[in-house]
Amino acid sequence: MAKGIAEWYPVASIKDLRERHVFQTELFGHELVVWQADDGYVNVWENRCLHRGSRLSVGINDGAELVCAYHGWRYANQTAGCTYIPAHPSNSPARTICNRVYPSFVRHGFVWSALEQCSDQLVVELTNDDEPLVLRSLPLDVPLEEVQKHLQNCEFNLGEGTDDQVQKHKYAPAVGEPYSYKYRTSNSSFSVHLMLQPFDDKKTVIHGLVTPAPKKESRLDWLLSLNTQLAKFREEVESSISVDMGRWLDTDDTHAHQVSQGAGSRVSEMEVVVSKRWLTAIDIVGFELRPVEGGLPTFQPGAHVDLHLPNGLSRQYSLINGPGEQDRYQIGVKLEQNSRGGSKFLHEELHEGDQLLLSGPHNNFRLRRDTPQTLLFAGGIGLTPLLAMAQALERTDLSFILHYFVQSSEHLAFQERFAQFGDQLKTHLGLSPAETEQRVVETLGSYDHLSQVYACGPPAMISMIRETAMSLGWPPEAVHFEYFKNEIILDEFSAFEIHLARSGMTLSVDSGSTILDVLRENGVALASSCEQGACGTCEVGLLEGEPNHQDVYLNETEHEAGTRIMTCVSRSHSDRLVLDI
Amino acid sequence: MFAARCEDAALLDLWHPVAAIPDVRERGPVSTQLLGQMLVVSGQEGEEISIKEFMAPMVHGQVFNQGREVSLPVREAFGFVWTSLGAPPERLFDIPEFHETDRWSENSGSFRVHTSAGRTVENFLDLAHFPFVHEGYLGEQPYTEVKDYSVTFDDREIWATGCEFYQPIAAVSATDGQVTKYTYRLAHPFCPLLYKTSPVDPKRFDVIGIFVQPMTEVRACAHQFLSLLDETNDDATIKRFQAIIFGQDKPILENQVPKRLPLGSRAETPITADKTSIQYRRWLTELGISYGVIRDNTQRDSEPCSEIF
Repeated sequence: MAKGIAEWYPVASIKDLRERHVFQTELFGHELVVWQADDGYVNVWENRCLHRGSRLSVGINDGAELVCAYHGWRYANQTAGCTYIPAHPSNSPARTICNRVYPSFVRHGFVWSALEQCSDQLVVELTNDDEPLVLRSLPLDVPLEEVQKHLQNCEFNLGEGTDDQVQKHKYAPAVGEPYSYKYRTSNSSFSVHLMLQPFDDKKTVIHGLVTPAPKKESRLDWLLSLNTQLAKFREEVESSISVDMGRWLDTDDTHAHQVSQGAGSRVSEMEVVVSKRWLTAIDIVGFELRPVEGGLPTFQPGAHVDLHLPNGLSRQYSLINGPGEQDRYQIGVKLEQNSRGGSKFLHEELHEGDQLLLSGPHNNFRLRRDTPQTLLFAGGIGLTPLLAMAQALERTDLSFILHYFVQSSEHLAFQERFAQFGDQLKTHLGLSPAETEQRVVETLGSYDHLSQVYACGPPAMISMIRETAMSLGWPPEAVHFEYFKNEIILDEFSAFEIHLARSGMTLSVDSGSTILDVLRENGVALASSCEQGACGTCEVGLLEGEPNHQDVYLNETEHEAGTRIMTCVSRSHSDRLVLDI
Repeated sequence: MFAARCEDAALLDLWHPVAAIPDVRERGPVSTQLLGQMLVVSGQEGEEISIKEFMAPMVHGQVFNQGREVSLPVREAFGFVWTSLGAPPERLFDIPEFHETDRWSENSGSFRVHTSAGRTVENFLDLAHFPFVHEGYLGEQPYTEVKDYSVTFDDREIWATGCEFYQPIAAVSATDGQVTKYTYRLAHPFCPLLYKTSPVDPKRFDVIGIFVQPMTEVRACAHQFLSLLDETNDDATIKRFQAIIFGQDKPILENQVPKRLPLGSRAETPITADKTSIQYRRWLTELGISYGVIRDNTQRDSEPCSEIF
C-alpha cells in the first residue's frame, strides 16, 4: 500500500452533503460513496453494491438507508449491512452481506476519512472559537507529490481590507506536515489551512479553510482575492507537468475487488449497556441498549434479539427501531403475571448503566415489501415488531395501517414514535374478544390480492386473526404472524450424520445448524461467502448418501448426479452423507 | 486506436456480430472494433459484403502507418454481418422463429455501451432489475419478487425456463399489466435470447435477443434482434420502445465496477434469482476466457488494462 494510507484526509466538505444527496469521491483511487442519514450520521463506504458491483453513488439516499439503483438492495445507515433484497422479499439477507465501511468523522466542516483505521490525530487542530470558513474545494489534475512540491514554494497574499491597504505576506508551510499547509498573516489575524486529498495517482483535491471567517463586509473581496491566487496556482501546477493521456484511458479494476465482510459478519454475543429505561405504558418498560464497544449489528424490521440475563435465563425481544437507527437498540418488556424470571428480572433488577450480553438480531418475522398494502395487527406488547415494520413501511411508497388493540390509553406503549404515522395508526381501546373479532372482520374484508397481513400479540388473538382471514378467503401466504410466547423457532430440518472420508471423522449435524457450521466447529476450515447456496464457495465432493441440495449454484443435472453439495444449505435425505474431505 | 489483443482461442474462434446489414448497405463502410482489433465492413447495395482487419503492429506504443489488411470470413444471419478472428465453426446457432413468415423479424438498433460484453449479457439475463430500472415498462414496484425458475446447461447452450414476472407494459403491443412468462436462452456466450408470452397470442412467443459484440475488454455493442407477432405497431414505434429500454439499462451498466465481469465466486454476491448468471459465469470460466473478465480475485489485478476506445 502507498505511503500515507493510514492518515486522515478530508474527502468532502459537509456542504457537499445536501439533504439526501449521495456524494462520490476517491481516496488513493478507491471509490467512496459519502451520504448523510437524516439522523446526521455521515457514512463513508466503498462505492459498490456487493451484489453486482453497481456504484451506490447512483442509488437513492432515503434518509435511513442507501438503496442500490440496479436491484433495490438496501444498506443500513452506519453499519452498511444489507437489510432487504427485493428479489427475495421473504428472506433475510445474510449477515455477511455488509458493505465496506471506511473510518470517518466530521470535523471543521469536512468529512474526514482514511483507508485504514488510524490514530485520532488530525493534521489540522482548531478550537471551536476559531470559527472556520470552509473554502470551495479545488481539484487539480496533478499527482499529490507535484502539488506538495509546488505548495512548498508557494506564497499567498492574505491581505485584508481594500486594494490600497493590501499587505503582502509570504508564508511557508509548517514543516513535517506533508498533507496540510498552514498560512498565517504576520499580525496573526487570519490563518489559511490547505489540506490535500489524494484522489488518485493523477488527481489531487485541495480543501481549505480560513480562521476566523473574514468579516461579512470584506468577505467577498477577500475570497475573490484568494480564489484568484488559487486558480493561478492551479494553472501553474497543471501546466508544469506534461499532459498525461493516461487519465483518458479506460482504466479498470486498478484495485482488487473482493466482497469485503464488514463489521457485521459473524457476531455471536456482544456486551451492551442499558443507556435508558423508562415506563412506556402500564406494565411495559422500554429499554435502550448501546454497545459497550464498537457498533451494533444490522437489523431488519421484525427482528428480535436474545438477551442473556445474569440470572442465567435467555429471553427474546423484538426491536422497535426504525430503519437506520443503528446507534442503539430499543425493546419493550411487559411484566408477565407468571414470569419465571425473565420479565420480572428485567423490570426489577435491570437498571440504567447495567451491562448484559446480547446475541442476534435474528429475524423470523420478515417484512415483505412487495404488496401495495400491508395491514399490521398488534395486540398489547405484540406491538413491538410491528412498530419496527410500520416505520420501515413509512419510508416507502407502500401504504399500510397499523391496528393497535389495547385495554386502555394507559396501555399504549412507545407513543413517542406515533406522530410519523398520522392516520395510518388506528388504536382500538378496551374491546372485548368478540368486539375485537368483529373489528378484525370489518378491517380485513375479503381478500383483494393487493394486501398482506402481519399479526403479533396474544396467541388467542393471532389464532383468531388467522382463522378470520382464512374464512374471508385470504390465502395463508398473505397472512404472517409471530407468536410471542413460547416462540418455537421453526426448523424444518432433521438431524443426520456426516462422515469425512479423508480424515475418517464422523460428525452429527443437528437441526438448526448447517454442515458448514459443524465442519467449522470441528476445526475443518472451509471458505464460504454468500451462505445461501448461490456462490459455490463452500462446495465439497459427495461420495455417498442422498443429498437434499437446496442450493441454486448447481444445475439440475448436477443435482441429479449428486456428487457435490454446498455445505451452507445442503442437507440430507439419508441418515448419512460421506463427504470427500 | 488499438487495444490489447485478445488471446483467448475460445473467443477468437467464435462468430461475432459486427454490424447490421442495412447499416452496411445504406451507410457503409462501417468501421468498428472486435476483440480490440480494428475492422472495416463494406459492401454497398449490389456488392458482396467484405470485412477487413487492419493489423497495425505496435512498437513501444507507437502505431506504424503501414498496417496490413487481412480479409476476414463473412456470414450473414438474422439481419447482421458476422465474422471471426480465428477458425470459426461451420455452424451458427439457429432461431427457428426467425424463419416464420407472419412475424416482424428485424434488428432494432445497435447500441454501444462502455462495459464488457459479459456485463451486458448478464443485464439481459436479469429479471430482478425490472421494477427498478424499467419501472412502468418491464416491471413495477412493489412487485419485485423473482420466483424460482430452472436452469439447464448442455455444454453448448444455457436455458432458463419457468421464469415469471409481473409487467405493466411487457411490449409495445401490451395494453395492460400481465404476468409475463419468460424463457431465456444463451445460444452463444454473447448472444442471449428471451422468449416471452406474446401480448397478441398467448400461445406463441415473442423472441428478443441481443447479439453482443465485444469491441474491447470494456466496450461492447449490443445489436438488438426482435421477432415479434405485432400487427399493429410500426417499425419506428417498436424501435423507439427498444431504445427506451436500452437507454434505461445503459447508465446502470456503465456504473458497474469493475467493468470486466468478475468470475471469482467471492468477487460479488449472487442470490437465488441470479441462477442464470451463476451458470453463465461458470461457463465462461470453463471456456477458459480471460478477455473482458476477471478470472479470480488475485489474477490480473496488478496488470494495467490500457485501452483507448
